Amino acid sequence: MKTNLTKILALLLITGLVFQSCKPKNAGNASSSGSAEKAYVAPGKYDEFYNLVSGGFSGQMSVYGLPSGRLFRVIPVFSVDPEKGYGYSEETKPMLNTSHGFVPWDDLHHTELSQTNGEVDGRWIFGNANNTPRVARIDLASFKTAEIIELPNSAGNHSSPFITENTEYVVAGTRFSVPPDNANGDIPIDTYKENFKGYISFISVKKESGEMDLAFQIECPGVNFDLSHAGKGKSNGWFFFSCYNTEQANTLLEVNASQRDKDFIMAVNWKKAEEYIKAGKAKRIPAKYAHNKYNEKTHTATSEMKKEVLVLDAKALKDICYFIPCPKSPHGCDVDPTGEYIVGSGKLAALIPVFSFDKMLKAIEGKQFDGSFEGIPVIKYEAALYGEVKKPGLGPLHTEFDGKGNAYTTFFVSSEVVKWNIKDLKVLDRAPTYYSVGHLCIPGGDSKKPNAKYLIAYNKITKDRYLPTGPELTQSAQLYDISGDKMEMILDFPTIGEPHYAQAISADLVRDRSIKFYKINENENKYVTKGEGQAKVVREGNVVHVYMTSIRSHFAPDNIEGIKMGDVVYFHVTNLEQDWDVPHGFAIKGATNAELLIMPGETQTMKWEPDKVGIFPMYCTDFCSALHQEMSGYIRVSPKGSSVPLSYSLGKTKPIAKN
Amino acid sequence: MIKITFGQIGLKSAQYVDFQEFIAPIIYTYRRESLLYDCTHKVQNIWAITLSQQKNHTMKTVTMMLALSLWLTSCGSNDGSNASADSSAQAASSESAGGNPDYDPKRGTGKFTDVVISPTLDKALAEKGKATSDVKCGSCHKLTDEKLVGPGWKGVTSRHTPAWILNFMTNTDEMINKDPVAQAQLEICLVRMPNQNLSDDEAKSLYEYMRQNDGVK
Repeated sequence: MKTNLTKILALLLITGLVFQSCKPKNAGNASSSGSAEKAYVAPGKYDEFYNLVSGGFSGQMSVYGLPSGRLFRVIPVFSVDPEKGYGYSEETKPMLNTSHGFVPWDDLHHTELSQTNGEVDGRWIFGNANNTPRVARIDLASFKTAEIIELPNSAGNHSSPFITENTEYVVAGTRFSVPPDNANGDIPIDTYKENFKGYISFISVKKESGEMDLAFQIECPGVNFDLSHAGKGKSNGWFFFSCYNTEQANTLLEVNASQRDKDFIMAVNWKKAEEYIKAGKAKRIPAKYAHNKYNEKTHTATSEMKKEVLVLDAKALKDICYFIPCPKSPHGCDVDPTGEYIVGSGKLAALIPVFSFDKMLKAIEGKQFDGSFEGIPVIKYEAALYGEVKKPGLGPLHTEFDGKGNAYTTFFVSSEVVKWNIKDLKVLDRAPTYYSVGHLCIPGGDSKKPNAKYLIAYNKITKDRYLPTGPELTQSAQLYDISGDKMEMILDFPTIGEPHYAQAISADLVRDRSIKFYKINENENKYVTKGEGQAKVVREGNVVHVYMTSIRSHFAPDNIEGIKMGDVVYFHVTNLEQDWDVPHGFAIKGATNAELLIMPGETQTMKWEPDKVGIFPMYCTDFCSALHQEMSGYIRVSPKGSSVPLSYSLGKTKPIAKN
Repeated sequence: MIKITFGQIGLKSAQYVDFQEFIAPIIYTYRRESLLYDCTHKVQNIWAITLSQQKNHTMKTVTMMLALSLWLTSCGSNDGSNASADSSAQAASSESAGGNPDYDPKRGTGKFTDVVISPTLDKALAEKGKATSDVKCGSCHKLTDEKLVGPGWKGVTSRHTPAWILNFMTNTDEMINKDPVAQAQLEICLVRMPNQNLSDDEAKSLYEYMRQNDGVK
C-alpha cells in the first residue's frame, strides 16, 4: 500500500506538470506570458476582426480571424479550386476567361477594401492578378468572387488594386512595361526605350452594384510601376505610384535597374484626367480584354470580351503626371490618414523620405522642376520633401498608420517593424519579425480612419518557426498588439500561399451582412429544378441534361439509365435546402474535372463525358446528415447505339424520359 | 505530447499504455454530466499523455480519477465563460422540455399560440401551400401515411394541434431540441428536419394544404 501511495503522490506531482502545460508557452521570442491571452479567443467565441489576406502564388484570398489567427475560408479568385468546383463547374468557368483563353492560375498580391469617405465600409474587397493582369471584386456578403476585369496594354499588374476614398476608381499600374497591345510587338527586346510603354489603368466602380468598368488608361514612359496609394482628404484627386527601373533596363534588372541614385514616385492628378476625358482629349484605342461577372440570381458567370479602351497620353497632356525623385528603387508608396504625407520606401535605401502634399502642389505651381523624364516634369527632390527618417533600419518596404500620428514601416533586410512619428520623424520603437517581413497591415491602416489595435506582419521567410515539412515550409504572419506605446508580439500564425498585402476590418462591419442561403424561389438559373416534382432527364441528340435536386439526404433522381458512350451529360444540381451551413456536394467516379459544392438554394452544373461502359456511382461529398453516407446513386452507361431507353428514378417510381 | 517514463513514478514495468484507455470513459461520463463541459477543449491535453503501465488496473483508475479531479479544479474556474456557444447540437444535448411542467406539449414552442382554424377549407390558400410543398417539403414527405425521409402527412392535422404544426414548421431547431414528440420522431427518422426558412404565411398555407390532404372540404 505504501508503494501505491508513493505512486499516487508521484502521479499528482506529474499531474501538476500537466497543469503547467495547460498554460500557453513559447508564444514568441519577444513575448511575455500574457501574450497568449491577448490572442486567445475561447471556443465558440467570435474574433474581433476579419483579416483578408492575399494568397500570393496560390491566386486566392484567405480569411482569418483576429486576434486568434484562425483560418475561416479560402476564397477562390484567380485560381481554380476543385474543392469548391470553382473554375470547374459550368457556371464558374467564365470567371477565369481572359483574352488568352481560360487561365487557371494567377498570383494575387494585394487586397483592398472598399471605402466610403475614406473609411473601410465592408462591402467589397478587391484583389489583383499579378501575372495575367486583372482585378477582381469579391462580395463580402457572399465571400465569393463577383467580378474580374482584365487589363489591356499591361503586363504584371502589381501596383493594384488600390482605391480612391469613395471607391470611385480601382487602379492598376503595369509592372512590366511592354509595347501597347495594338502596336507591333514583334520587335527586338533591346528597343525597350523606344517601344515599351508603362500603362496605368483607372477602373471605375459603380456606387451601388460595385460593377467595374475600365474607365481610362494613361500611357506613361516605360518603367516598372510597383505600388500605389490614393490621396485622401486634402490630396483626394491625386494618386501616387512608386516606380523603379527608370534606367529602362531590359536585362539583368537586379544590377541594371539599380544604377540610379533615385527613381520616382509618380503623382497622378486623376481629377485632371477626368477633365481631359470630358474635353475629348482621350483616344479610343482598339484592345481586347475580358470582363467576367457572376450573377447571384442565375448563379452563373458570364464573360464579355471588350474591344476598346480610352487612353490619355501623359507626355502630350503635360499636367496629369509628375515625377518626384525617391531614393533607391522605391517599393511602398503610402499616404498618411490626413492625406498630407506620402511615404516612399526605397527598398535599397537606409532612410525613409516623407513627402509633403502641400509642398508638392507649391513646387508644381512654382515650376520647381529638375528637368523632365521622357517628357514628364520631375519635381525637385527638396521641393516636395517634408523630411527623412534617418537610420530607421535596412530595406524599408511598406508603411501603415495608426491615426495617432505614427507610422509603422517594415524592413525586409533587418527583419523588423519600426514605429516612428510622422511629425518629428523620430523612431519610437522597433520589434523584430521572424523573418524578413514584407507587407504589414493595421485594420484601416491605409484609410483615413485606422482602427489601430493590432498590426500584422506578413513574413517572407519562416525558417525555424514551425515544425519542418520538407523543403517547403509554411508561410506565416505575426500579430502584434500596438494599443500601447510599445509593440508586443502576441501570435504567430501560418498562412496560405505567400501573403503579400492584407486588409483587416472590424467584424461588426461585415458579420451581419453575410448571406446565409440563397432563396430557392429567386433562383433564376436556366437549369434550376424547383422541387423534386420537376426533376427530370432530357436528351437532346448526344447531349443529356439531368435536372437534379439534393436535400438531406438523397438526390432526385438517383438512378439514371440509358446514358451512352459519346454522350455529353450535364448534371444541373439544385440544392433545395433553405438553411445556413447545409451545402451538398456532388461527385461522380472517374469525372475528369472536380466535384460540385452547391450552396443552399443554388444550382451548379457538372459536365461529364463517360469514358467507359458500366455503372458509375455518384454521391454527396459534404457531410450533411446522419444518413449522408446513403446520399448516393448510380448511373448506367451503355455502348453507343445501345437500345437501353433513357430512364430515371428515385425510390419506386420509374417513368420513361421524354426524348 | 508529454511522455512520462516509468522511472519518474518509480515503476518497473516499461510498457506504455495509452492514457485514453483509462481516461476516456471517465471524461465521457463527466461530459455526459456536463461537469466537464467548460473544459472539454483541454481534454486533448490529457488525451495525448501516455503513462507507464501500473500493475493494478483498479489502482490506475483511482489514480486517474484523482488526477482528473485535481485537473478539473485547476482548469475549471477560468473557463467558465466558454459554455455559451449556442449551436443547435449543443443545445440538443442540454435540457429537454420533457420534464418541464411549464412546457405545453400540445402547443410546442414558437410564436404560434392559439390558432383559430375555420371549419371549411380555404382552397386558394391550400393551392399556395401545395406550391411551397413541391419546392421545399415534397422531397421528404409523402401525402400518404408512408414515411419517406420524414413521416407521411396523412392524418398529421389530427395527430397535432395547429399551433404545434406551425411552430414545428417555423421554429424547427428549437422544437427538435425541446419537444418530446419531435424528439421521439427524430429517433425514428434520424434526420433532423431541415429548417426550410418558411415565412409565417408559407407555413399557414402549408397547414391548409395538410388539412386538404386530410379531407377537409
